[in-house]
Amino acid sequence: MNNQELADIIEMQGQALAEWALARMYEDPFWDARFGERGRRFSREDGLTHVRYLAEALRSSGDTIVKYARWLQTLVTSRGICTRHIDQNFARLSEAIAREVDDSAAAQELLTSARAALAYPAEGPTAHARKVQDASAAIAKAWHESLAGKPAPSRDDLETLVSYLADALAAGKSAVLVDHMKWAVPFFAQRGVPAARWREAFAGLGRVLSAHLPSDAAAATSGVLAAVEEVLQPLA
Amino acid sequence: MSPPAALIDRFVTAQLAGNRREAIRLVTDGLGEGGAQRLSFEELYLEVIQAAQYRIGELWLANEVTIAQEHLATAIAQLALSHLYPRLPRAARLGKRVVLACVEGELHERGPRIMSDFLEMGGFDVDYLGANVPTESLVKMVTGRPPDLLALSATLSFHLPALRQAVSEVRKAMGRRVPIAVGGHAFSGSPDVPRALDVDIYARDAKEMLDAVRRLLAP
Repeated sequence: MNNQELADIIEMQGQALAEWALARMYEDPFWDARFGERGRRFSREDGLTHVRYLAEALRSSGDTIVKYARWLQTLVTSRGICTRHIDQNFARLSEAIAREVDDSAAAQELLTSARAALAYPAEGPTAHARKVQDASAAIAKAWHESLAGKPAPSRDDLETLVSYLADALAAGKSAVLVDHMKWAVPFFAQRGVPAARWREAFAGLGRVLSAHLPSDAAAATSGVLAAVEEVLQPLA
Repeated sequence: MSPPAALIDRFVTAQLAGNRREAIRLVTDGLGEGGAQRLSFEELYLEVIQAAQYRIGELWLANEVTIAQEHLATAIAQLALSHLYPRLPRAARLGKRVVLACVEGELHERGPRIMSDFLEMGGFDVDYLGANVPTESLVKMVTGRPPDLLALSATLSFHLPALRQAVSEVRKAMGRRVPIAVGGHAFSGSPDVPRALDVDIYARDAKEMLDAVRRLLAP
Protein backbone atom coordinates (compact mmCIF):
# COMPACT_ATOMS: atom_id res chain seq x y z
CA MET A 1 0.00 0.00 0.00
CA ASN A 2 1.40 3.41 -0.88
CA ASN A 3 1.13 6.41 1.40
CA GLN A 4 -1.68 7.95 -0.61
CA GLU A 5 -3.82 4.82 -0.19
CA LEU A 6 -2.91 4.60 3.47
CA ALA A 7 -3.91 8.26 3.94
CA ASP A 8 -7.28 7.59 2.30
CA ILE A 9 -7.96 4.58 4.52
CA ILE A 10 -6.92 6.39 7.68
CA GLU A 11 -9.08 9.35 6.75
CA MET A 12 -12.02 7.10 5.95
CA GLN A 13 -11.69 5.32 9.30
CA GLY A 14 -10.76 8.54 11.07
CA GLN A 15 -13.87 8.72 13.22
CA ALA A 16 -13.53 5.14 14.48
CA LEU A 17 -9.79 5.50 15.09
CA ALA A 18 -10.26 8.74 17.00
CA GLU A 19 -13.13 7.23 19.04
CA TRP A 20 -11.03 4.21 20.01
CA ALA A 21 -8.20 6.48 21.14
CA LEU A 22 -10.68 8.73 22.96
CA ALA A 23 -12.17 5.80 24.87
CA ARG A 24 -8.67 4.74 26.04
CA MET A 25 -7.89 8.33 26.97
CA TYR A 26 -10.99 8.63 29.14
CA GLU A 27 -10.11 5.51 31.09
CA ASP A 28 -7.98 7.96 33.06
CA PRO A 29 -10.40 9.82 35.39
CA PHE A 30 -8.23 12.92 35.03
CA TRP A 31 -9.90 14.02 31.80
CA ASP A 32 -13.51 14.01 32.94
CA ALA A 33 -12.59 15.49 36.30
CA ARG A 34 -10.43 18.22 34.81
CA PHE A 35 -12.34 19.29 31.70
CA GLY A 36 -15.83 17.73 31.96
CA GLU A 37 -18.22 17.37 29.04
CA ARG A 38 -16.80 20.36 27.17
CA GLY A 39 -13.37 18.74 27.36
CA ARG A 40 -14.76 15.54 25.89
CA ARG A 41 -16.13 17.51 22.95
CA PHE A 42 -12.79 19.23 22.37
CA SER A 43 -10.91 15.95 22.77
CA ARG A 44 -13.12 14.37 20.13
CA GLU A 45 -12.47 17.28 17.73
CA ASP A 46 -8.75 17.17 18.50
CA GLY A 47 -8.62 13.44 17.83
CA LEU A 48 -10.13 13.96 14.39
CA THR A 49 -7.76 16.84 13.72
CA HIS A 50 -4.77 14.62 14.57
CA VAL A 51 -6.06 12.11 12.01
CA ARG A 52 -6.52 14.77 9.33
CA TYR A 53 -3.02 16.15 9.84
CA LEU A 54 -1.60 12.64 9.82
CA ALA A 55 -3.37 11.83 6.55
CA GLU A 56 -2.08 15.03 4.98
CA ALA A 57 1.43 14.30 6.25
CA LEU A 58 1.26 10.89 4.54
CA ARG A 59 0.26 12.51 1.25
CA SER A 60 2.96 15.14 1.26
CA SER A 61 6.56 14.73 2.21
CA GLY A 62 7.99 17.45 4.46
CA ASP A 63 7.53 18.19 8.09
CA THR A 64 3.77 18.78 8.30
CA ILE A 65 3.36 16.46 11.29
CA VAL A 66 6.37 17.86 13.15
CA LYS A 67 5.11 21.42 12.72
CA TYR A 68 1.66 20.34 13.81
CA ALA A 69 3.00 18.62 16.94
CA ARG A 70 4.93 21.72 18.00
CA TRP A 71 2.02 24.03 17.24
CA LEU A 72 -0.30 21.78 19.25
CA GLN A 73 2.20 21.69 22.11
CA THR A 74 2.16 25.49 22.45
CA LEU A 75 -1.61 25.55 22.10
CA VAL A 76 -2.49 22.97 24.74
CA THR A 77 0.30 23.46 27.27
CA SER A 78 -0.99 26.99 27.76
CA ARG A 79 -4.46 25.58 28.42
CA GLY A 80 -3.99 23.09 31.25
CA ILE A 81 -2.76 20.04 29.33
CA CYS A 82 0.86 18.89 29.48
CA THR A 83 3.24 17.63 26.80
CA ARG A 84 3.08 14.10 28.19
CA HIS A 85 -0.66 14.08 27.52
CA ILE A 86 -0.10 14.93 23.85
CA ASP A 87 2.55 12.26 23.63
CA GLN A 88 0.11 9.72 25.07
CA ASN A 89 -2.58 10.85 22.63
CA PHE A 90 -0.28 10.32 19.66
CA ALA A 91 0.75 6.93 21.07
CA ARG A 92 -2.91 5.87 21.41
CA LEU A 93 -3.68 6.98 17.86
CA SER A 94 -0.68 5.01 16.63
CA GLU A 95 -1.93 1.96 18.51
CA ALA A 96 -5.43 2.40 17.07
CA ILE A 97 -4.03 2.53 13.55
CA ALA A 98 -1.78 -0.49 14.15
CA ARG A 99 -4.82 -2.47 15.31
CA GLU A 100 -7.23 -1.41 12.60
CA VAL A 101 -5.19 -0.75 9.46
CA ASP A 102 -2.93 -3.33 7.82
CA ASP A 103 0.40 -2.28 6.42
CA SER A 104 0.32 1.05 8.28
CA ALA A 105 3.95 1.34 9.38
CA ALA A 106 4.37 4.66 7.54
CA ALA A 107 1.63 6.25 9.65
CA GLN A 108 3.14 4.92 12.84
CA GLU A 109 6.56 6.26 11.84
CA LEU A 110 5.05 9.70 11.31
CA LEU A 111 3.43 9.60 14.73
CA THR A 112 6.76 8.55 16.20
CA SER A 113 8.36 11.61 14.62
CA ALA A 114 5.50 13.77 15.94
CA ARG A 115 6.16 12.42 19.44
CA ALA A 116 9.88 13.06 19.07
CA ALA A 117 9.11 16.65 18.04
CA LEU A 118 7.58 17.21 21.47
CA ALA A 119 11.07 17.20 22.97
CA TYR A 120 11.93 20.86 23.47
CA PRO A 121 14.98 22.19 21.59
CA ALA A 122 18.09 21.45 23.65
CA GLU A 123 19.59 24.85 22.85
CA GLY A 124 18.28 28.29 23.68
CA PRO A 125 15.46 29.28 26.02
CA THR A 126 14.04 25.75 26.31
CA ALA A 127 17.37 24.08 27.23
CA HIS A 128 16.42 23.61 30.89
CA ALA A 129 12.97 22.30 30.01
CA ARG A 130 14.61 19.76 27.73
CA LYS A 131 16.90 18.56 30.49
CA VAL A 132 13.85 17.99 32.70
CA GLN A 133 12.11 16.12 29.87
CA ASP A 134 15.15 13.92 29.26
CA ALA A 135 15.37 12.98 32.92
CA SER A 136 11.62 12.84 33.59
CA ALA A 137 11.30 9.06 34.03
CA ALA A 138 14.26 8.96 36.42
CA ILE A 139 12.97 12.03 38.28
CA ALA A 140 9.51 10.49 38.68
CA LYS A 141 11.00 7.21 39.88
CA ALA A 142 13.21 8.89 42.48
CA TRP A 143 10.42 11.23 43.52
CA HIS A 144 8.05 8.32 43.99
CA GLU A 145 10.63 6.42 46.04
CA SER A 146 11.17 9.48 48.22
CA LEU A 147 7.45 9.42 49.08
CA ALA A 148 7.37 5.73 49.95
CA GLY A 149 5.48 4.63 53.03
CA LYS A 150 2.90 7.40 53.01
CA PRO A 151 -0.08 8.14 50.77
CA ALA A 152 1.29 9.44 47.48
CA PRO A 153 0.27 9.77 43.86
CA SER A 154 1.35 6.99 41.53
CA ARG A 155 4.69 7.19 39.78
CA ASP A 156 2.79 7.74 36.56
CA ASP A 157 0.93 10.72 38.02
CA LEU A 158 4.21 12.13 39.27
CA GLU A 159 5.77 11.82 35.83
CA THR A 160 2.85 13.84 34.48
CA LEU A 161 3.58 16.55 37.06
CA VAL A 162 7.21 16.56 35.90
CA SER A 163 5.92 17.15 32.39
CA TYR A 164 3.95 20.18 33.61
CA LEU A 165 7.16 21.39 35.24
CA ALA A 166 9.05 21.09 31.94
CA ASP A 167 6.24 22.93 30.13
CA ALA A 168 6.32 25.70 32.74
CA LEU A 169 10.07 26.12 32.19
CA ALA A 170 9.70 26.08 28.40
CA ALA A 171 6.97 28.72 28.45
CA GLY A 172 8.73 30.76 31.14
CA LYS A 173 5.46 30.68 33.11
CA SER A 174 5.30 29.15 36.58
CA ALA A 175 1.51 29.36 36.24
CA VAL A 176 1.56 26.30 33.96
CA LEU A 177 2.40 24.09 36.96
CA VAL A 178 0.89 26.33 39.64
CA ASP A 179 -2.55 26.40 38.02
CA HIS A 180 -2.45 22.69 37.53
CA MET A 181 -1.60 22.09 41.20
CA LYS A 182 -4.46 24.34 42.33
CA TRP A 183 -6.74 21.92 40.55
CA ALA A 184 -4.78 18.74 41.29
CA VAL A 185 -4.52 19.03 45.09
CA PRO A 186 -8.28 18.61 45.72
CA PHE A 187 -8.43 16.01 42.92
CA PHE A 188 -5.78 13.86 44.61
CA ALA A 189 -7.29 14.52 48.04
CA GLN A 190 -10.39 12.65 46.84
CA ARG A 191 -8.05 9.83 45.90
CA GLY A 192 -6.39 9.51 49.26
CA VAL A 193 -3.49 11.96 49.01
CA PRO A 194 -4.07 14.58 51.73
CA ALA A 195 -3.60 18.19 50.66
CA ALA A 196 -1.10 18.61 53.48
CA ARG A 197 1.14 15.99 51.88
CA TRP A 198 2.02 18.10 48.88
CA ARG A 199 4.32 20.61 50.54
CA GLU A 200 6.53 17.81 51.74
CA ALA A 201 6.25 16.14 48.35
CA PHE A 202 7.43 19.25 46.50
CA ALA A 203 10.26 19.76 48.95
CA GLY A 204 11.27 16.21 48.04
CA LEU A 205 10.99 17.03 44.35
CA GLY A 206 13.42 19.90 44.84
CA ARG A 207 15.99 17.46 46.24
CA VAL A 208 15.35 14.94 43.46
CA LEU A 209 15.79 17.63 40.80
CA SER A 210 19.09 18.72 42.33
CA ALA A 211 20.29 15.13 42.20
CA HIS A 212 19.12 14.42 38.63
CA LEU A 213 19.73 17.67 36.76
CA PRO A 214 22.81 19.72 35.97
CA SER A 215 23.05 22.55 38.47
CA ASP A 216 21.92 25.30 36.05
CA ALA A 217 18.77 23.37 35.11
CA ALA A 218 18.03 22.51 38.74
CA ALA A 219 18.45 26.18 39.66
CA ALA A 220 16.05 27.15 36.85
CA THR A 221 13.32 24.99 38.42
CA SER A 222 13.56 26.71 41.80
CA GLY A 223 11.40 29.67 40.75
CA VAL A 224 8.61 27.38 39.60
CA LEU A 225 8.83 25.29 42.77
CA ALA A 226 8.72 28.42 44.92
CA ALA A 227 5.57 29.57 43.11
CA VAL A 228 4.00 26.14 43.69
CA GLU A 229 4.96 26.30 47.38
CA GLU A 230 3.06 29.56 47.67
CA VAL A 231 -0.19 28.01 46.52
CA LEU A 232 0.31 24.80 48.50
CA GLN A 233 0.61 26.65 51.78
CA PRO A 234 -3.02 27.84 51.99
CA LEU A 235 -4.30 24.60 50.44
CA ALA A 236 -2.60 22.58 53.14
CA MET B 1 12.29 52.38 5.09
CA SER B 2 11.09 49.50 7.23
CA PRO B 3 8.29 50.19 9.64
CA PRO B 4 9.55 50.70 13.16
CA ALA B 5 8.78 47.85 15.55
CA ALA B 6 7.03 50.46 17.70
CA LEU B 7 4.44 50.92 14.96
CA ILE B 8 3.58 47.21 15.02
CA ASP B 9 3.39 47.37 18.83
CA ARG B 10 1.02 50.34 18.68
CA PHE B 11 -1.10 48.68 16.00
CA VAL B 12 -1.38 45.47 18.07
CA THR B 13 -2.28 47.51 21.14
CA ALA B 14 -4.99 49.32 19.20
CA GLN B 15 -6.31 46.00 17.88
CA LEU B 16 -6.51 44.41 21.31
CA ALA B 17 -8.08 47.51 22.81
CA GLY B 18 -10.69 47.48 20.06
CA ASN B 19 -9.57 50.98 19.15
CA ARG B 20 -10.60 51.27 15.54
CA ARG B 21 -9.84 54.96 15.23
CA GLU B 22 -6.32 54.55 16.56
CA ALA B 23 -5.66 51.65 14.18
CA ILE B 24 -6.83 53.74 11.22
CA ARG B 25 -4.81 56.72 12.41
CA LEU B 26 -1.69 54.54 12.54
CA VAL B 27 -2.05 53.29 8.97
CA THR B 28 -2.95 56.78 7.75
CA ASP B 29 0.16 58.12 9.46
CA GLY B 30 2.07 55.26 7.86
CA LEU B 31 1.05 56.61 4.47
CA GLY B 32 2.58 59.94 5.41
CA GLU B 33 -0.85 61.61 5.42
CA GLY B 34 -0.33 62.93 8.92
CA GLY B 35 3.08 64.30 7.99
CA ALA B 36 4.85 61.23 9.43
CA GLN B 37 7.47 59.22 7.62
CA ARG B 38 6.00 57.51 4.63
CA LEU B 39 5.87 53.72 4.30
CA SER B 40 5.09 51.85 1.12
CA PHE B 41 1.77 50.06 0.77
CA GLU B 42 3.69 46.81 0.69
CA GLU B 43 5.30 47.64 4.02
CA LEU B 44 1.99 48.64 5.57
CA TYR B 45 0.27 45.51 4.33
CA LEU B 46 2.96 42.95 5.06
CA GLU B 47 5.16 44.43 7.73
CA VAL B 48 2.54 46.20 9.81
CA ILE B 49 -0.94 44.72 9.38
CA GLN B 50 0.12 41.18 8.55
CA ALA B 51 2.97 41.20 11.08
CA ALA B 52 0.53 42.43 13.72
CA GLN B 53 -1.89 39.62 12.88
CA TYR B 54 0.89 37.05 13.18
CA ARG B 55 1.64 38.42 16.61
CA ILE B 56 -2.03 38.24 17.58
CA GLY B 57 -2.01 34.64 16.39
CA GLU B 58 0.98 33.87 18.58
CA LEU B 59 -0.72 35.50 21.57
CA TRP B 60 -3.80 33.37 20.98
CA LEU B 61 -1.68 30.24 20.65
CA ALA B 62 -0.02 31.00 24.00
CA ASN B 63 -3.47 31.61 25.56
CA GLU B 64 -2.68 35.25 26.20
CA VAL B 65 -5.65 36.49 24.21
CA THR B 66 -9.04 34.82 23.81
CA ILE B 67 -10.71 33.84 20.55
CA ALA B 68 -13.07 36.79 21.02
CA GLN B 69 -10.11 39.19 21.34
CA GLU B 70 -8.49 37.60 18.31
CA HIS B 71 -11.69 38.16 16.31
CA LEU B 72 -11.84 41.77 17.48
CA ALA B 73 -8.25 42.27 16.35
CA THR B 74 -8.91 40.58 13.02
CA ALA B 75 -11.94 42.78 12.37
CA ILE B 76 -9.74 45.82 12.97
CA ALA B 77 -7.07 44.50 10.61
CA GLN B 78 -9.80 44.05 7.97
CA LEU B 79 -10.97 47.59 8.61
CA ALA B 80 -7.43 48.88 8.12
CA LEU B 81 -7.15 46.98 4.84
CA SER B 82 -10.47 48.49 3.72
CA HIS B 83 -9.18 51.92 4.64
CA LEU B 84 -6.09 51.43 2.49
CA TYR B 85 -7.94 49.91 -0.43
CA PRO B 86 -9.24 53.11 -2.09
CA ARG B 87 -5.79 54.65 -1.71
CA LEU B 88 -3.90 51.86 -3.46
CA PRO B 89 -1.61 53.03 -6.24
CA ARG B 90 -2.77 51.05 -9.25
CA ALA B 91 -0.77 50.26 -12.37
CA ALA B 92 -2.57 50.71 -15.68
CA ARG B 93 -5.22 48.02 -16.15
CA LEU B 94 -3.96 45.02 -18.05
CA GLY B 95 -7.38 43.65 -18.97
CA LYS B 96 -6.57 40.37 -17.23
CA ARG B 97 -8.94 38.93 -14.67
CA VAL B 98 -7.95 36.81 -11.69
CA VAL B 99 -10.41 34.86 -9.56
CA LEU B 100 -9.02 34.35 -6.08
CA ALA B 101 -10.57 32.12 -3.42
CA CYS B 102 -9.94 30.22 -0.22
CA VAL B 103 -10.67 26.54 -0.79
CA GLU B 104 -13.67 24.81 0.72
CA GLY B 105 -13.45 24.73 4.52
CA GLU B 106 -10.66 27.30 4.74
CA LEU B 107 -11.67 30.26 6.88
CA HIS B 108 -8.39 32.18 6.95
CA GLU B 109 -8.79 34.90 4.41
CA ARG B 110 -6.40 37.69 5.30
CA GLY B 111 -3.57 36.37 3.13
CA PRO B 112 -5.62 36.05 -0.07
CA ARG B 113 -7.31 39.37 0.62
CA ILE B 114 -3.92 41.05 0.76
CA MET B 115 -3.00 39.14 -2.39
CA SER B 116 -6.10 40.53 -4.13
CA ASP B 117 -5.02 44.07 -3.35
CA PHE B 118 -1.47 43.38 -4.54
CA LEU B 119 -2.84 42.03 -7.82
CA GLU B 120 -4.97 45.14 -8.22
CA MET B 121 -1.94 47.33 -7.59
CA GLY B 122 -0.27 45.33 -10.37
CA GLY B 123 -3.06 46.26 -12.82
CA PHE B 124 -5.06 43.03 -12.66
CA ASP B 125 -8.83 42.87 -12.27
CA VAL B 126 -9.66 40.67 -9.29
CA ASP B 127 -12.76 38.75 -8.29
CA TYR B 128 -12.02 37.98 -4.67
CA LEU B 129 -14.37 35.31 -3.33
CA GLY B 130 -13.15 35.22 0.28
CA ALA B 131 -13.25 32.29 2.69
CA ASN B 132 -14.59 28.75 2.34
CA VAL B 133 -15.70 28.65 -1.30
CA PRO B 134 -17.48 25.37 -2.09
CA THR B 135 -15.62 23.56 -4.87
CA GLU B 136 -18.74 22.90 -6.90
CA SER B 137 -19.72 26.55 -6.86
CA LEU B 138 -16.17 27.63 -7.71
CA VAL B 139 -16.11 25.33 -10.74
CA LYS B 140 -19.45 26.74 -11.88
CA MET B 141 -18.10 30.26 -11.70
CA VAL B 142 -14.87 29.43 -13.48
CA THR B 143 -16.61 27.55 -16.28
CA GLY B 144 -19.36 30.18 -16.62
CA ARG B 145 -16.94 33.03 -17.09
CA PRO B 146 -13.38 31.73 -17.37
CA PRO B 147 -10.82 34.03 -15.75
CA ASP B 148 -7.26 34.49 -17.01
CA LEU B 149 -6.08 32.89 -13.78
CA LEU B 150 -7.60 31.05 -10.85
CA ALA B 151 -5.70 31.52 -7.59
CA LEU B 152 -6.43 29.24 -4.64
CA SER B 153 -5.39 29.67 -1.04
CA ALA B 154 -5.10 27.21 1.85
CA THR B 155 -3.81 28.12 5.28
CA LEU B 156 -4.18 24.90 7.30
CA SER B 157 -2.53 21.87 5.77
CA PHE B 158 -5.56 19.71 6.40
CA HIS B 159 -7.34 21.82 3.78
CA LEU B 160 -4.90 20.63 1.12
CA PRO B 161 -7.23 17.74 0.19
CA ALA B 162 -9.90 20.37 -0.62
CA LEU B 163 -7.34 22.29 -2.66
CA ARG B 164 -6.35 19.16 -4.60
CA GLN B 165 -10.03 18.50 -5.21
CA ALA B 166 -10.62 22.04 -6.51
CA VAL B 167 -7.59 21.85 -8.84
CA SER B 168 -8.70 18.49 -10.14
CA GLU B 169 -12.32 19.58 -10.71
CA VAL B 170 -11.28 22.76 -12.51
CA ARG B 171 -8.84 20.80 -14.69
CA LYS B 172 -11.57 18.29 -15.48
CA ALA B 173 -13.95 21.06 -16.52
CA MET B 174 -11.53 23.47 -18.24
CA GLY B 175 -8.42 21.51 -19.12
CA ARG B 176 -5.46 23.89 -19.26
CA ARG B 177 -7.48 26.83 -20.54
CA VAL B 178 -7.54 28.35 -17.07
CA PRO B 179 -4.10 28.57 -15.46
CA ILE B 180 -4.10 27.88 -11.72
CA ALA B 181 -1.98 29.46 -9.00
CA VAL B 182 -1.76 28.20 -5.42
CA GLY B 183 -0.36 29.63 -2.23
CA GLY B 184 -0.83 29.89 1.50
CA HIS B 185 0.64 28.79 4.79
CA ALA B 186 -0.56 25.21 4.24
CA PHE B 187 2.36 24.66 1.89
CA SER B 188 5.03 25.77 4.31
CA GLY B 189 5.47 22.32 5.87
CA SER B 190 5.03 20.54 2.55
CA PRO B 191 7.34 22.02 -0.09
CA ASP B 192 6.76 19.05 -2.42
CA VAL B 193 3.01 19.45 -2.60
CA PRO B 194 2.94 22.20 -5.24
CA ARG B 195 5.16 20.13 -7.53
CA ALA B 196 2.80 17.20 -7.26
CA LEU B 197 -0.18 19.42 -8.08
CA ASP B 198 -1.05 20.16 -11.66
CA VAL B 199 -0.71 23.93 -11.27
CA ASP B 200 1.00 26.74 -13.13
CA ILE B 201 2.16 28.87 -10.24
CA TYR B 202 3.15 28.26 -6.66
CA ALA B 203 4.43 31.22 -4.67
CA ARG B 204 5.54 31.49 -1.07
CA ASP B 205 4.33 35.04 -0.46
CA ALA B 206 2.36 37.91 -1.96
CA LYS B 207 5.33 39.57 -3.66
CA GLU B 208 6.51 36.31 -5.22
CA MET B 209 2.97 35.58 -6.36
CA LEU B 210 2.56 38.99 -8.00
CA ASP B 211 5.86 38.53 -9.87
CA ALA B 212 4.84 35.06 -11.06
CA VAL B 213 1.40 36.23 -12.17
CA ARG B 214 3.00 39.11 -14.08
CA ARG B 215 5.40 36.71 -15.83
CA LEU B 216 2.52 34.44 -16.79
CA LEU B 217 -0.14 36.97 -17.81
CA ALA B 218 1.69 40.18 -18.62
CA PRO B 219 5.21 39.32 -19.74
